[in-house]
Amino acid sequence: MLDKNRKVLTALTIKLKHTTDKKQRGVFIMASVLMLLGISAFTLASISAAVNRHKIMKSTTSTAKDSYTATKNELRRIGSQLRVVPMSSIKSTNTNMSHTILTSNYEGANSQPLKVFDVTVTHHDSHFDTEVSQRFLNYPAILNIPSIFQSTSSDTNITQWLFNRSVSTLTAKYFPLSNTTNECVDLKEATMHWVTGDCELNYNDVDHSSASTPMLLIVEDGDVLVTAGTPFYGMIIMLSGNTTKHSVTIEHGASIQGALCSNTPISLQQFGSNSYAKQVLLNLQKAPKLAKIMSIPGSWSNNLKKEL
Amino acid sequence: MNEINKQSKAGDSVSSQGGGALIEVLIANALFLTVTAGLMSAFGHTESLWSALKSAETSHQMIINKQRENIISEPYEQTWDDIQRLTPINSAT
Repeated sequence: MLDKNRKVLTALTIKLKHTTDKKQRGVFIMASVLMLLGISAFTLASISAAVNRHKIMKSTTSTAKDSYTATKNELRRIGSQLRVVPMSSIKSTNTNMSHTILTSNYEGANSQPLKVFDVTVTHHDSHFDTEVSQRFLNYPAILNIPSIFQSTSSDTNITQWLFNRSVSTLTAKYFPLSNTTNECVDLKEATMHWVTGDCELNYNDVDHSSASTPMLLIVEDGDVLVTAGTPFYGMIIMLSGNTTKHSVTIEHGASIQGALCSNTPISLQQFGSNSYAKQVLLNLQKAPKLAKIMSIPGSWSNNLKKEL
Repeated sequence: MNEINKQSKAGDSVSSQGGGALIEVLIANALFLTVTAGLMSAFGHTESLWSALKSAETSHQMIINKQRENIISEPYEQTWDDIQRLTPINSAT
């Protein structure tokens, strides 16, 4: 009897040991799974945090880039406006921006009127002020006025002297606010007209021009007729890309006051007057619509200030 | 008779231990599935956030590039050589 009891006890002990082993194994497996899940959760949390940090960083960078680009755009807009508009009438389009403009007057080698503008635009932000500065040079599109000799005889280098371009490379795009047309009918109130083909000028076509507001007329491969009683103030440039001899006719009572230039010999039939007028040409050179503006290389600077 | 009772008790104990283990396995499975589902959901969320960020960044960069192009493009033709023709430049008196 005692022996049987011992056997049962031994069997129970062995079973208990097996059960304990199984439990330990189970706990070990569960702990391993939990550890793996924990590692995965930690990795994912790290990635999520990194993505969120990246989002915040990108958002800040985008805002900074936007304000910087807006500031440069404003600088560019002011630079373009300074070409034709007086300094005092330039206003900021954005309430977060302010600007300062300093002007200096200069003269070129042949007394060309030049202006230098030092423009500073500041973009005010809640955290930072972005300040961008640039120096601009305002200069005339007519780099030199023609001499009296160039207005009485043809000069193959006339465009080179006037615009620093050869006849073949000079296009209407050289001039700001140019008007290109195929005929001279009711010329718009632009300072410069580029006409391809023949041009017949009458009083109505040039009634907006005067000695103080002269106009520039470039006639490419065509003849010019200034009809009776029409006063033309400014400069007519006849350009020819071939050997055809073009003609200019100035009828009775008509006049050209300024200069009549050409790159090839022309046939001039003069019944009215054709007089070289230096002051008219100087006024044409000074015309704001013919002025160009260029940012001076190396003059650009930017500055980031912390808002106090 | 007494021995039969003892054996029966031992059998009951083994049976109850098997039931306990089953519950443990079920709890472990539920825990595992819940955590995995949570992780997958968080992963999906992060991935969609990342792709949205990339898409926003690309479109923003395109807008910036367009604005920069406008800044550098000139409405008329001019070169620094044109300015050279005006030299020497002096201060106006």
